[in-house]
Amino acid sequence: MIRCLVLIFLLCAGSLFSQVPSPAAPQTKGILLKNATIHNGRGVVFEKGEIYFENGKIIYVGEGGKFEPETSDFSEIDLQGSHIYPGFIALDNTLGLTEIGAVRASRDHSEVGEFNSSLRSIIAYNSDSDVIPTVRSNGVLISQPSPSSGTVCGQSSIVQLDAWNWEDAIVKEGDGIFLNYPDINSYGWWMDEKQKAESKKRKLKNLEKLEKFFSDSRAYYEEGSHKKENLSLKAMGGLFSGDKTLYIRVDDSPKAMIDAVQFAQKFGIKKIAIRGGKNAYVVADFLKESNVSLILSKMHSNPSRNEDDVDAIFKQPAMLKKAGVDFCICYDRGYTGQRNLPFVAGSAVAYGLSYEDAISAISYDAAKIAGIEKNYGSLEEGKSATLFVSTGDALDMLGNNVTHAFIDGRSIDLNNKQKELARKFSEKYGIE
Amino acid sequence: MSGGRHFFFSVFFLLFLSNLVFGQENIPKNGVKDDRNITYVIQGATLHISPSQSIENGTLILKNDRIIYSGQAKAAPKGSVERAFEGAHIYPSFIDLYSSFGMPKAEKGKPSRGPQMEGTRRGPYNWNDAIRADQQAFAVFGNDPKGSEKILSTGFGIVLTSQNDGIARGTAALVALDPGSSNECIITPEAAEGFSLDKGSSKQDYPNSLLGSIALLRQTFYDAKWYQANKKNLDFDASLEALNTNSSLPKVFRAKGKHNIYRANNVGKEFGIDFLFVGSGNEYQMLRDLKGAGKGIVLPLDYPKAFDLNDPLTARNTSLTELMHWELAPANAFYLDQAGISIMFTLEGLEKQSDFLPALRKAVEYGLPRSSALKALTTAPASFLNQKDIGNLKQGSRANFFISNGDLFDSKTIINEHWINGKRKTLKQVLELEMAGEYRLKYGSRDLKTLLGEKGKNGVQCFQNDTTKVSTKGSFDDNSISFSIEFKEEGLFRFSGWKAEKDFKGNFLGPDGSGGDFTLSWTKEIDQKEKEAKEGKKPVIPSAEDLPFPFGPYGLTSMPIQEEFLISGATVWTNTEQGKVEADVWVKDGKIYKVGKDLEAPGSVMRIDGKGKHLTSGIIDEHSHIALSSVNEGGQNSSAEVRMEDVVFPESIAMYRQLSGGVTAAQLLHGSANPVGGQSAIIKFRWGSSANGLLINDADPFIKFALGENVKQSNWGDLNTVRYPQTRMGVEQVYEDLFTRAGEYENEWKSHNSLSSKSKRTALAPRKDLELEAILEIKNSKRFITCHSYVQSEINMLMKVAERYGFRINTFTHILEGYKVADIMKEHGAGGSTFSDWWAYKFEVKDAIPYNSAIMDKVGVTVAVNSDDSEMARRLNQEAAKAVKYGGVSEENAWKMITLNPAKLLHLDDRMGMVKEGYDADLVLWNNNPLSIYARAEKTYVDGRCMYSEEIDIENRAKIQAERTRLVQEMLKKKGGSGEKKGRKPERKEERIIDCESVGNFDF
Repeated sequence: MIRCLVLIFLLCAGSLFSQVPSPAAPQTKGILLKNATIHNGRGVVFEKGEIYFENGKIIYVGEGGKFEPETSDFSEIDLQGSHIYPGFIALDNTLGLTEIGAVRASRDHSEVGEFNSSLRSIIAYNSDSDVIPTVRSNGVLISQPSPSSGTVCGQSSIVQLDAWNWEDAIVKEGDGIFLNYPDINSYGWWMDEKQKAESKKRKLKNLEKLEKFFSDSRAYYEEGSHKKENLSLKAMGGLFSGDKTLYIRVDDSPKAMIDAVQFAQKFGIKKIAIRGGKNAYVVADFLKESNVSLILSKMHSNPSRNEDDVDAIFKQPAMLKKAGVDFCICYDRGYTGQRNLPFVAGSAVAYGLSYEDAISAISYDAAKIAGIEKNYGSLEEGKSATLFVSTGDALDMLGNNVTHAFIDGRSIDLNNKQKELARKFSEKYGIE
Repeated sequence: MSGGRHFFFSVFFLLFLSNLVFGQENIPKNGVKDDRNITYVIQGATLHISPSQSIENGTLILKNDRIIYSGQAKAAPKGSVERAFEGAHIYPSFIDLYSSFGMPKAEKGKPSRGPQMEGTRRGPYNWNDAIRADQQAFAVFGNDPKGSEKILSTGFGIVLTSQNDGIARGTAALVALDPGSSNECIITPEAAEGFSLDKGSSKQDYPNSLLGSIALLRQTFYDAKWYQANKKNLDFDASLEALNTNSSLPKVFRAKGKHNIYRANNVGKEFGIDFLFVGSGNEYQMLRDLKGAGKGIVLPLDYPKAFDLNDPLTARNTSLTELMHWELAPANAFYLDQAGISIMFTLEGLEKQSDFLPALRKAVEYGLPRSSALKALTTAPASFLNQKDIGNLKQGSRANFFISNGDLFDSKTIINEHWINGKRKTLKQVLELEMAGEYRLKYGSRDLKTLLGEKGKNGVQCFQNDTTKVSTKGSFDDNSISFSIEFKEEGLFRFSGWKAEKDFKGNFLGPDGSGGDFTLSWTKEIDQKEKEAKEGKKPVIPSAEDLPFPFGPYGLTSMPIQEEFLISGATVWTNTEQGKVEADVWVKDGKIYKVGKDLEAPGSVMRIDGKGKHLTSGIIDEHSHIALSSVNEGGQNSSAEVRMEDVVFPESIAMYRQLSGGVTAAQLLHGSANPVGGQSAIIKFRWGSSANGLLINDADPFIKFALGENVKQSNWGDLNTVRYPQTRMGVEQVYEDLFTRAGEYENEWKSHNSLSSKSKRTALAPRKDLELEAILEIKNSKRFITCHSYVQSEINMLMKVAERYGFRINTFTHILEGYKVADIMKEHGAGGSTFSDWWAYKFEVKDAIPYNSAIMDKVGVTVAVNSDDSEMARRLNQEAAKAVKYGGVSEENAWKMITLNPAKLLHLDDRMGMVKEGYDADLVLWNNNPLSIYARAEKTYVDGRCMYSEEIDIENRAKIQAERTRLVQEMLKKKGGSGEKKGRKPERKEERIIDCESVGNFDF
């Protein structure tokens, strides 16, 4: 009997193994999830709640027992006290743009050149990456593949993590342009005085070029029609029209955050988000007053200075919330680590952020910054049914156990390469 | 002609002798012979015979290069040149023991493309280019009279100069800064031998780290001994030859920084060598651990400059440690001297040599007794070199001294003359003008404020309405003045005058040719001087006992005491058969005394309420690279000889941060740059103790091995395709080769040791090889391997290698494909210490899975979860929890993966890793289930000492804030003060992340 089971299992595994699971078909039937604690992503919790969606749209979300679908042809799942969350959103990463970090051939996020505004990360996005299923099986369902290098790095897009190809992965194409803002006052740890001077010179020069690039782009945009088209300048137009967001990466330096924001505002850029790290709390008031939102990164990093509070990083979300800054939390750059996004939000809770605010920080608040909040990021009637079910608290490793996930109502396969490998070798040893 | 004995002879005999030594009979003279033998007599000055003896209004008589009399006033002998120096002071020439005066510059060859494995020096030298013990400074010495003038103005007149290049640097020459020929300069051609930890101009790959430098030095000392004993059977090696020839010379060690002094001193102790260390100015920060280090420390006096802190945002970039050091650096000499450490001074490190005297005076202002300062400059270096006739003004000593116009420690004193080997050198010095000050200039109907001179300058500046500068040109000295002022409307007025008591008087000419008298009448000293007077107040500095260690935030002035305490009612994760229980834990003398329900302890035992909390043993990180100044010695494919213990960095803030995450111990591993890395250091986080104090006593010795992409340099770029091995096939052969050689090495020694003592004398003894000794220890199961590994094939290979040589692999670390060979590992007896969920960062980890720890655990392998990352380590509890999430491991088993299991893998489970009677009281009190994301360590104990608690931490934060605020205010006040007109711009250093692959050295 056991042998037989093993055989069946091996056959199944064999068919799946080393394959990324197939994307789910569109939702054909209504689905009712009941008897769950629903966190809607905007601070509202429904204990013993219910959610019903059809054709990928949420029809009802709220208390249990108050809703009856119009049709009788729907499936119903009793979640027995599990939690429902909006699909988490991981901004600014290289998921799908890298397969193996150390293998150059598999890296597609760092182009040569300084001003690459026309680059589109979306076309390099490999929806069939082995890594993607491992990320979504922890509840991260939406991502923002973004280019890494240069000063103006190129354009990002927003994708959902269950697709046949990059085209049908698109949630929002070309949502923004990434800028690595040069921090004049910082140096590499390896630099001696001479190298420091050179670095500063280079950065100043770059800043000058950047100024020119932005002012030329602005003029190009205002000119309207052109005899000769300039792809780089043209791509910048969306920043001035307000179609695109300028995402500015400034890691640790509060001074550079101020400089960067003022730089962008000078050119009349409407939507600005700082992808900033450790010391944003120092300039929290400035960020609030300038109406700039923040993508908080580096939640898993050491404080900048030896004298900083040991929990300086972990408590920053709570401090920013208190100061009224619009922010979301991202996992740092990278691809495999994106599956830990829920846990960095959990860390923020351990250090003072309220639980529902932590959920928002990786769902609705991120959607707002990415400009997809009308449809994604929260569980509200009329929005996309992009959500997942976890038997326990999804922000805690001890509770995060995703049993169901839906993207636009499609019930996605939660299997992945790693689960298959585990299964294969567990079988070998005859362990569970 | 080393000095001392002259002293005992009579003056007459001395004269005779001096005559002999002074002549340069063999040098042909182009002209008429000009030997003079004149006696010089210097009268009226204060003679500083020695640091403790001075004679006012004394007489100094010298002839040729010797002092023939120094003492109470005495009439000049007939036929001598007599000079009067009332009010002047005479000091013996200062001695600088770390100089490269007259040395050619070390040539840094072109950087080589790709690795350089072998030595390239031309000649029969050591295999390693950094071992240059054969160098002789005197052989390349070329006098540089121009360069010496600047040095002479600082008071230094004798220097120990050497080719400061390499780890063993050869001999240094003791040189007087004589204006004559190179021959005349040399006092002792080979006066000392130099060492350092810096390979200098060598381009050879090995050593490429501090670790390797120390190991090479150690091996070289052994090689030298072996060479000496077996010379006749060995090829000539000029470098080892020289080490033996020079073995009795005093040894100077350029250490750069307090930690390297400590480290070099440890090596010195192994070989019975007392080095004199050349420091870097921060030694006071480690007084406790530097007391008694070698023969003392030569100190530079380059104090850090103030930062420009006006912009609070960039001001953040300065660290509290930098601010603290800025404040206390001038007290370095004081603290060391007070602690009984023999100190000396060097010009090395100063931006300008003329900064020396002001810096020295500052040291005195900060408490260094004048006599100690003088001793440090004269008798201390002289006695280190066993030279009795320098560094003092005693009869018979060398006539090397300088004359200053006052007490050297007065800020205005300058050195007028420096006598070297009895030859006078007058020095051009910028005088502080006595007439400098604030004046009123009165001519015609005008009355203008006028400033004469700023510090050391002779400029003139007039002001209209006392505040607006008027265009003024001109200069003054203490006798006369001439200048012109130009008014826009009226034109140019010219003035020329002379000194009249406190004022100047003279005539002026206006633009129209008319003129008259003017007076410049003195009103007061320039503000500058008032400021100086204020600054001259004795600075308030903390007493030595109050200096924290680590020097900086969260530092301690003493270790927390081992209190007796009882934590009651907590959920105790015992890691024993008892499992998780609600119990009391009683701690006494650093050990767990009792565990049980409702323990009854005397009232004197401190109570800690553990209700609702969780108590666990401290987390042990099996794979860490924190608290190290160097991680990889990648210069060779095996670096078994390097020891992490040599480079432990006890000030690493990572320790404090990890204590706040419940981590209490770690194995500090070599990196993974080569198949055989270095020997581990296993430490407890005894924050505040010395490097040696962190080490766990009697821990079994471990060593790092590594497999895969790192050791084959797969990701090191296209230049690194030379070093063997470049494939996994080659990696196996490296091991085969090493273990074979180690076996032969053992046999060689065995057969050598079995020889009769007579035949031993003639036989070639085997070379003591530190690398093979470590390998042999492994082979004999006396040292244990932690092997960086990923792919199943290589894991299996190494187990088979071990089995062939009769030992076992203790631990595979990272072991990301351990789940594929867990059964083989179990059978072999290897443990696995893994990452929780890292993967896909390299090709070799494409099959890594987060279920790895769970599968290995279920198969029966001892599994630990490690960090390899200073940040992740402070939340290892969360990493362990992933074994629950991904593999369904029980919470208690997951918890063991970061406590008991790493203790087992490190052979420490007889005292660590469990909450059990008799075990070390390394405990953590958590506010929550310790595996939860919401868990915070509220208290962390190491050996029963409370090394971290949330309450103490809050106090620390307030202290840090207050201290920072105070120092920033102090620095803001100083900016623009004397000598620090332009503040340094604070800069932000990007964070350096240290892991397995980090190359280079770091102290931060």
